[in-house]
Amino acid sequence: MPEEEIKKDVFFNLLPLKRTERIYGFLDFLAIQICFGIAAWFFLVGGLTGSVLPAREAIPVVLFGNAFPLFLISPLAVIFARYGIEQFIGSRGVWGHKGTDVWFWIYITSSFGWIAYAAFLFGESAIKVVGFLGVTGALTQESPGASIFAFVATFIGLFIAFKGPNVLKWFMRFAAVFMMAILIGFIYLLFSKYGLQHIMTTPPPEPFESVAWSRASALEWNVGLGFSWAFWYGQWTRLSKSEMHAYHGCQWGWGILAAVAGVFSALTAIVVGSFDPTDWIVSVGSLGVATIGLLLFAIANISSIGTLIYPMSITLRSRFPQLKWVIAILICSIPAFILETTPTVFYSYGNYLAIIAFITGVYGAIMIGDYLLTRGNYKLRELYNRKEGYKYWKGFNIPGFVATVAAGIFYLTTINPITWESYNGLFPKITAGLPAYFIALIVYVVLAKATRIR
Amino acid sequence: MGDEKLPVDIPGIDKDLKQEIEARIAEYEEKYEPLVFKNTDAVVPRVRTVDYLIAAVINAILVIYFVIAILGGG
Repeated sequence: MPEEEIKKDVFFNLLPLKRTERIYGFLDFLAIQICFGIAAWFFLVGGLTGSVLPAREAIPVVLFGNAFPLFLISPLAVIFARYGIEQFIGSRGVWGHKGTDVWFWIYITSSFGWIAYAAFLFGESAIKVVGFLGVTGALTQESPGASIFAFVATFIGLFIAFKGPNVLKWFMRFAAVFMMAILIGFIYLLFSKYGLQHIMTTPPPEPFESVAWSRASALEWNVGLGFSWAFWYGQWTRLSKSEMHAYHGCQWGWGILAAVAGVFSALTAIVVGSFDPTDWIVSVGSLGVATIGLLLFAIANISSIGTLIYPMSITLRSRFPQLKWVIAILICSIPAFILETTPTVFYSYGNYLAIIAFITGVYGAIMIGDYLLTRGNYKLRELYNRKEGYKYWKGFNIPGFVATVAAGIFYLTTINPITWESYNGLFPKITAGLPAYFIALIVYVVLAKATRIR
Repeated sequence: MGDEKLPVDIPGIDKDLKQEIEARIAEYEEKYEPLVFKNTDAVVPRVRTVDYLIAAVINAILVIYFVIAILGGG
């Protein structure tokens, strides 16, 4: 590949970016991460929260549950901005080359679900709005209607990802402002239609058998979403013009600002008794609201699919540099298309979040533990040498894996993410995701210092 | 010091791309690596303590709001 072509290709390959190639400032990060954040995941987690908690508790649970875990892992943004490297290249300094391969595969395989949720929520909203507009037939039914709309959304998102971060940057600037304005407008509409008193005093439609279970479960779902960003920093922050832009842009974009979408859907869940905010949009009975709502879900989810497929593909291509960009994009999309044929995926979101909470919480904790020990200072050359760089023990950093097992035992005995049962009885007295984070972090720091592996 | 001379070793990499990575790493090591290990600005300006403090204060407010809502309001 000629040198000029390589330089044109820097946003699509594994090169460490130079200062002059950094194209994202603070506002770009804010826009990108708002667009990435405002999508199915926030709408659904907000809807689930509003289904089990009253508004006076749902709002702080959504805000705290997302922002605080994000705060705990936010220094991750800094590491990759410092060197201009992709996430799983930078992770090699912590986990070793082979250890990072384990996380690489976990990241890729666990991320298809996010694409499917974003596409399918758009599909669900589209069939309801199409039905509201008087259309009948297959396009108004979950199967195949929602799946067809989901395919279309995934295809458009795939195309946006294919075009790369420069196109994404301009698209997201407009999309972020549009979505924030619509969401704030919808929240205002909710309060003016139902009144503050009614919204704040209406009981949740589907609470657990006890208040404690409702609170702990809702917090666990939101913490899961908050930690889930741990896998998605480096693919973006390698483009950053400064470490501060990366740190603040990701933290507030994915956090408090995108959480407005969660607050909105928590309130609609309380008002109409459904975790899907589209039900409220249709229930308003206004053509204008339905159209704007559909546009919101279209932009929110399609932009997010683009912001999912691009980082997945850059990660895949960093590990397998021989792949063509278009092939990497397709590999990261096709399994999502398959998932979108199965509407049941849509109804297991709480379980998915709990599994993600454990995986990403532990990964983030150990990365941050290492950041505390090293201040995020790594040898760039060692990150690019699989045989001799950051070898640890045969390519694996053992303290990291011991800490993962310790946190895993705690997490899975505290809450089973599939059956939602607690074997040790600690849940709902405490939650699982946040304590597991601290267990992983402390075990890692102590072991890494004790074994002098660092 | 020996590890600083490790060659780029990534399976399946194109030789021109490998050369470009080598050149970038060499430039980084010469201009920026000493600055990184001195914890000062390097390729891009470094995050400051005040950035962490701003985030800590905003999150502390959220923690207080959460605690009041759950313990007080619930």
